[in-house]
Amino acid sequence: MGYAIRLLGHWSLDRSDGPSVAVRRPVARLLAYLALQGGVQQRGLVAGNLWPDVCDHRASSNLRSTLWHARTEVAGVVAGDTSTVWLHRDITVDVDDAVIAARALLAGTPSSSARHLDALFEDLLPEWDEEWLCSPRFLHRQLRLQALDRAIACDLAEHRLPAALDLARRLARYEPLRESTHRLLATALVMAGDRHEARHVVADFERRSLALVGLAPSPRLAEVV
Amino acid sequence: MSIDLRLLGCFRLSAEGQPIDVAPASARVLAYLGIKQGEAERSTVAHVLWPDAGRARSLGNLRSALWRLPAGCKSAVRERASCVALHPRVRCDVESLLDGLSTPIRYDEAVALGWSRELLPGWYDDWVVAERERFSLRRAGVFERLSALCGRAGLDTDAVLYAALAIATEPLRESAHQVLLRAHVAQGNLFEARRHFLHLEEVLAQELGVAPSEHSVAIVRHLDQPRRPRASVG
Repeated sequence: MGYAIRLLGHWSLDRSDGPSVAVRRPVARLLAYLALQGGVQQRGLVAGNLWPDVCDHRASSNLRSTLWHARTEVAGVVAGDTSTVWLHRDITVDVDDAVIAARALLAGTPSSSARHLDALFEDLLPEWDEEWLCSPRFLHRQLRLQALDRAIACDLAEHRLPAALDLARRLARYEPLRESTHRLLATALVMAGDRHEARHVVADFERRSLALVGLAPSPRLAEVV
Repeated sequence: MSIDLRLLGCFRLSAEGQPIDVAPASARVLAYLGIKQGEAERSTVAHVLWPDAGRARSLGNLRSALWRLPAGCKSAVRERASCVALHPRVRCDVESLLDGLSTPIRYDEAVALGWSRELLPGWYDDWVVAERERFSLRRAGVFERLSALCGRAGLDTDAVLYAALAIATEPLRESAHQVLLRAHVAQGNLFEARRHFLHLEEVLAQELGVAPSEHSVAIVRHLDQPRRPRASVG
């Protein structure tokens, strides 16, 4: 029985044969932590990160009981020995697929052939407030946005205009204050012969940026049109 | 014969591309020499790796660990009477990463080389923990340099990603935040730059009780200067 852990957009633990499995919060936190760290983790380190505000003794006892709950609620997901804990190797994690997709795009794979492209539009557990999530979330966000911008630029360079426009519009909707993406969108529109629409994109972005955050765009944006 | 020592991600010794099984004690000696780069006194190596054994015992352990190096790899360690070192022919990934860089290496190539992986994951000897921390700081510096090099070469994407890597591993290095701010500005992502600056302000205040340096402020200062909007599209 395989399980899939979802961390992008929201938490979910799903069985390979379909339904989602509800687990109590501490178990979800443990699984999410192990899924992100990968490999085999020292108990002390895991406990310290998951329960930073209590003493080591308490944290390690919390880990023990959480492991017990995990093994009773969802057999075959997490394992441990006296000093370490780990996820079973047949558990898939969506972030891993997203990272592979991002690197493929950065290496020049056309967006139309990239698998798991949709996963690149989500952030890592955006609603969870956990110290150990901060760095991975930050890194993943930069990686996915750069990958998507690069994918649009590659599509443009190879004159795959419908794909470029599609991706650029979609990303611009998700990231209304991201100038690089809007610059790419405007460029795609100009290349597609729609300079009028391109000017609207530029003017809208400028208005929005000034109104929402009091920032004028860089001179590069206007240069596109 | 080419010998490769990988310490980033799982430990691996390979000769002519083939992985070689190494006894744990020998692996530790190789790892230590790979991290330290250059020659080490036998007594130092012995003391660090076997801190609880007496001098004679630990030196004996070192001798035995070197003796147990697999046949094809005995030449991996150059032994002298009082010093040992990795043979210059051995390519160690830690050394490649820390070597002075003067040309940009693409981000995806660096990742493929394993440069963003943890040093000897799962090794918890005290000396490894200490070296891991030292290495992390030095690596952040390398990523910052790579970010700047890529930025100067017009490789904006790589510049952002290297800077992000540096920050993710060493969030209190203001220099890493500075290269990221510059990289965002280079891409024209001014909102992203300003938002990151505000995050930097918060982190420095919370963790160190300081404000961002004048250097950091200077990168984003011009963003808040009012500019007249262009005339609207007719």
